[in-house]
Amino acid sequence: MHITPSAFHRTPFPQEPLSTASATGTSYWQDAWRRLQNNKLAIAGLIFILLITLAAIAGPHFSGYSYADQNLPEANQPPSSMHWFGTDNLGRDLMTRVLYGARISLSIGIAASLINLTVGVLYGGIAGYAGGRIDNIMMRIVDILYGIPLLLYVILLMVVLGPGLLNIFLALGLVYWLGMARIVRGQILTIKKQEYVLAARLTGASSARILLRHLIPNSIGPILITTTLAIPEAIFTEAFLSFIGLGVSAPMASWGVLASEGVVSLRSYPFQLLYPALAISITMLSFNFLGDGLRDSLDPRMRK
Amino acid sequence: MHFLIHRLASMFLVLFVIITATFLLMHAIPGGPFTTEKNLPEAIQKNMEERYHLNDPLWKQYADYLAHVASGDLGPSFKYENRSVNDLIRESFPVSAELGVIAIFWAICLGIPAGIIAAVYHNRWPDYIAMFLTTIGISVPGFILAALLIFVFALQLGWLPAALWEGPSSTVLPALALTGLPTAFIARLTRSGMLEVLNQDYIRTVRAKGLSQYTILTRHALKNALIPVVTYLGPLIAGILTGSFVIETIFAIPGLGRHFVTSIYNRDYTVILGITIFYSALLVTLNLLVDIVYALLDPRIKLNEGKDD
Amino acid sequence: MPVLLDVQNLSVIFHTYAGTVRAVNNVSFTVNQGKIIGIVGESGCGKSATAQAIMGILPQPPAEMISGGIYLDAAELTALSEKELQHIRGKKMSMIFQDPMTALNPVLTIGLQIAEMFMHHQHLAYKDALLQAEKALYSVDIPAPKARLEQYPHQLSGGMRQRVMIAMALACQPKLIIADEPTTALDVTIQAQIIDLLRSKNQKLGTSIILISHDLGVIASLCQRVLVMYAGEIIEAAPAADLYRLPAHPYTYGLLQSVPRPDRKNHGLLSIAGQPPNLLKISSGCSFGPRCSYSMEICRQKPPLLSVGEQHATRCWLAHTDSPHRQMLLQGGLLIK
Repeated sequence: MHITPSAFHRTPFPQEPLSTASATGTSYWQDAWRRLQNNKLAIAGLIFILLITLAAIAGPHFSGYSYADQNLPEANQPPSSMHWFGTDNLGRDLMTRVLYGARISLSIGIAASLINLTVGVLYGGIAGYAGGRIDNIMMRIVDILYGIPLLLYVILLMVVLGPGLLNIFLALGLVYWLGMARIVRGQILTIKKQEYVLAARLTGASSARILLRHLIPNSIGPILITTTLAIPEAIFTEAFLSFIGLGVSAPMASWGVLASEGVVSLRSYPFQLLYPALAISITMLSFNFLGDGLRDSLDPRMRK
Repeated sequence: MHFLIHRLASMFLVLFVIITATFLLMHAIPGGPFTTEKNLPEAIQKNMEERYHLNDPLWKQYADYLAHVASGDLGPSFKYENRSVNDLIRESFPVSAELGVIAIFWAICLGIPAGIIAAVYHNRWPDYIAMFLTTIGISVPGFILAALLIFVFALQLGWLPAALWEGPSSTVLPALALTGLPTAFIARLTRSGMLEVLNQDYIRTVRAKGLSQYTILTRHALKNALIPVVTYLGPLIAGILTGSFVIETIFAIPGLGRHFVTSIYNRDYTVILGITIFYSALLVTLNLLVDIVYALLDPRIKLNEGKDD
Repeated sequence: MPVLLDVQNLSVIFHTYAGTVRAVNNVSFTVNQGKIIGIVGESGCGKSATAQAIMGILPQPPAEMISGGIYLDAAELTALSEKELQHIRGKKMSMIFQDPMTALNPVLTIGLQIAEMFMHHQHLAYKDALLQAEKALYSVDIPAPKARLEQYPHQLSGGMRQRVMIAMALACQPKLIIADEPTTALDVTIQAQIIDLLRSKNQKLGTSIILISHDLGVIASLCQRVLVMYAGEIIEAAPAADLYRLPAHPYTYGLLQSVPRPDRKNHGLLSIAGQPPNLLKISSGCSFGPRCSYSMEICRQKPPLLSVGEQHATRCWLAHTDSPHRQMLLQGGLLIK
């Protein structure tokens, strides 16, 4: 390499323009969304959920059958071009009933989750934010109630209330918020301890401002995940209740009712269980995959 | 010791709340336990009500009931003339317990190794398979799993019985159905616990010390990773319990779960109440034991108890 | 003076979401028997990655050692299998880490954590190993060593935990210890104690030490030779006294200037202008160029290591034999404005 004296002239070094000098920063949510997209299972779950929701809303109209129309001569037919899923023991078209069941099961899932979201966030938020004695008492109550599995409460409530869709909403709403309350309170306690909250308070931010700008946005992650995962739990609970005879009343066709009818005729007409079972399982799977994906992508420690 | 007293007090409080709540619920049901009997002439109905003190004021019934429960008597069954709730429980609980223990055993023996393997081979094939299978295990409700198992193994293949309770072969299918969810959960908890531990600084230190992968896993990582699994044992047992309702019904197993379901169907209130109380007492006691095990595992808890961070 | 550790052309990359980061770029150096060398540099300059590569504990995804030969006592470490390396780690060379709080296993006793060194490397039975562990604790001046054996890490103070780490590292009398920021997480007074402990071990046992730190004071108090790293490269290497007296690289000079000194009252806080480099792109020129107030035309080409004195080299064109600034550099530091 030939070095000339002019090589040693002082000149400023060419600077990198600042915008490309550091890796493009992404916000927490953008990064999370990007990571979620990479998770094939979660996206598959999301797509399925959208599809089944559409089918639930529009499906029963297009099938040409109603969920309650009995047609005894056509009872127990295996799947055919007339009845894609076959018929049940009263000649009702199974596919319509499954789609109708989707409406019920999904609405139970979503409504129950929303109730438990609202009550849980309020309860947990207040407990966590207030701290001290109020927190102690509120969480003591939760701990005591948690002494036995929540499902038992739901069962007992349903025994008292009797079967019916509205009663299921009531029972689920009265019970499952406990889980959300715990998580929200835990999250708020963790955030409260973080130094940036102290910093905010030191700069004179008011309580409301701290709540709005720091506590709530940082809790949204776990809240979102818990809500997503609460939906399959509600769907499962409804199916369970229907199975032991406490769910919606006939001829309404929730997936749980269809499954319990299907189990009875398992030997002779397995398809009558297969389709509702598939519906329940795949829906729950989808929500679980989505919830898992959300959990992985919203975990700040795994930011790359 | 202070810890123990505190917990015992909580336990009694919980049970008290449960008993009261269930009692009130049962009595909130419109009509009485005999209103479903359509064929009873009124005179006989009145007679039954007398016999069961159903005409006494509520507070008296409550006090009576509490007294009975305190002495261990859970009352008579309304449906089965000559049998008390205690009898029912005594007969059927051992069956459920046997099934439950088998299920828990499988959950631990399958779940923990699966979780470890998934963590050690993180983001490679064994991990993906494990995550996929466990998600299915968590999402497919027990009764569907049971029906599937019956369909494949009993009906189609005829290998295993579907509705018996005699001999070890009849425990296989129900135990499998019951253990699906818990195994999946334990596998996941072990996996995430392990992953978290393997990323810790102290594992890096141990690697720098030149210890073998096996030693690292068993001596250093496992104890730490299993801590979240132990905390799950409480909900695990509760899950097995509620799972037993459906599984025993499907497989016609004469366990406590099946009695519970039948009593709900029959609206046999004392039985419902009695079994609920029994379950609650059982769970609360087992939870206490789990907490003790947890304190033994994690030295930070034992020595710092009472100090809240 | 025989060479204990010989690192040749070590390069390490990290695969990240944003691209490939070159954490260590063609680093070479040697450590002689019984000597203490320091590696100094800011966060992210590649010092820890170098240390972990030497020990062979780089997390293999996402890290990857793409080139380099590492020779310990003439044995080529890079050619050994994992099993063979496990016999060397902890026995011939060991490492101490920065945060003693997280570097010890919280659910195992101190006794066990030290004893397992003896059990694994010297095949002692547990009881005998515990005895040795007690002796090891004693040798690092921990009071009441026997009682400590049964205690857990969270029951000791930070300084004591670090001593435990040192005891663990020295248990099998390795020839080399790599200390990665051993004092950074400790109070200043405790820092001094740990440095003294390391020094006494070096003097008594002849253990070579590689001390990694971003703290110039700590390096100065212990090391005989210093390597300065920047952006994954060694940019200056010198005997400690020469480095502090006559820095031969603008970065080193900047580092030394930025240490606040009570006797320079009117200068305010001096810092090095600019940002740390983006390791996603390897520049073809001098990595310090964008921040250097002495940059020249030729700096757009990467400078090689050039000698400026006895055992003193710098990666800077100012030191080139054809550079008109070389004399100034050699004589009194970088006083050119």
